[in-house]
Amino acid sequence: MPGAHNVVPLRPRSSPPDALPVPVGCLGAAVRELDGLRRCIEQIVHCPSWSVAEWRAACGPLMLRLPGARDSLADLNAIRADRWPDTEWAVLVRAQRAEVERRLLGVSLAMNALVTAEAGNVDAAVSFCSDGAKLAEATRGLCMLILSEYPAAAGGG
Amino acid sequence: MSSADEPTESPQPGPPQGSSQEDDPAPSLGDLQKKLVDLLRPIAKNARLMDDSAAAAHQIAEDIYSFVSEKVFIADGKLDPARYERLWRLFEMVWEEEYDTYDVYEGVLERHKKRRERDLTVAETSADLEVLVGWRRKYIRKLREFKDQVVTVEGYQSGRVEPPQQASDPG
Repeated sequence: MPGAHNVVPLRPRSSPPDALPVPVGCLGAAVRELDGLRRCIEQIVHCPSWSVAEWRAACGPLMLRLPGARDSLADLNAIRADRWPDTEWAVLVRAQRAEVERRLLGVSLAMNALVTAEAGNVDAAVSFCSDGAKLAEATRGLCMLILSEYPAAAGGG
Repeated sequence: MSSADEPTESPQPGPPQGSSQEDDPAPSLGDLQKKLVDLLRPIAKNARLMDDSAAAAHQIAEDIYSFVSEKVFIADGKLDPARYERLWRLFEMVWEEEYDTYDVYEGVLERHKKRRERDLTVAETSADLEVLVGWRRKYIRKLREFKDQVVTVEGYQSGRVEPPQQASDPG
């Protein structure tokens, strides 16, 4: 049965940007990382390869980007409606972030099937292109959401 | 869910005794209430958004319950629980319903996420989803009822809502 607990004070709305659970600089780094992932995926999806060797070559840069993208998603996990000054925005970002995470998992699985196949795997290729397009779209949506609220996150580098 | 719109006994008009400007919890309860309203706004358009913010929603409800039970319904405070017994009972009831519904919804959600990673048949997936959708709807409904009750309590404690002059049923 529920009981009383200590009251958790709300962060004042006038919190400076760096007092956010995820500082704006960190949001910017995540946007750059995820945007890089999106561009990389779009490139592969728009020019699909047909042989295992071609897929391996095409997926190389993407594989290098995955750890950074996962780290960025882990950083964004601290955006929660109960801890963020703009509750509504946090709800939207959290759902979009989860969508990117789900699509990223799908792309990773399809990519593994492609690069480890002995011969061309048409199903995995179709799956990769479909999941890849959805991942690119979800990633674009997440970056746009972040930049709509924190345009300063677009700067830096 | 009906809202408590009257105290159990006839309250005196004017500001309640025993409160001071310093102790006034109105701004903080207002902030917490706004947070809950803001959370529910996008979810009204897209219920699925709740799945990724359920823990935060429950945390806000818990913060509100703590605040109200420790700072609002206190003897000689803004809302003396002896005087506003029905209001207090209703508030506790909606909190308990929110709490219990969240417990089940969270379990269903967790199971759904784990099972989604496995290869399920179409029938299994659809059965899983049906259960999740049902509990999601139920939780959102309970959270709205809780929010409505918080609005009522906030109205009384801030003085926005005038207590009725006549006594209602005791207890």
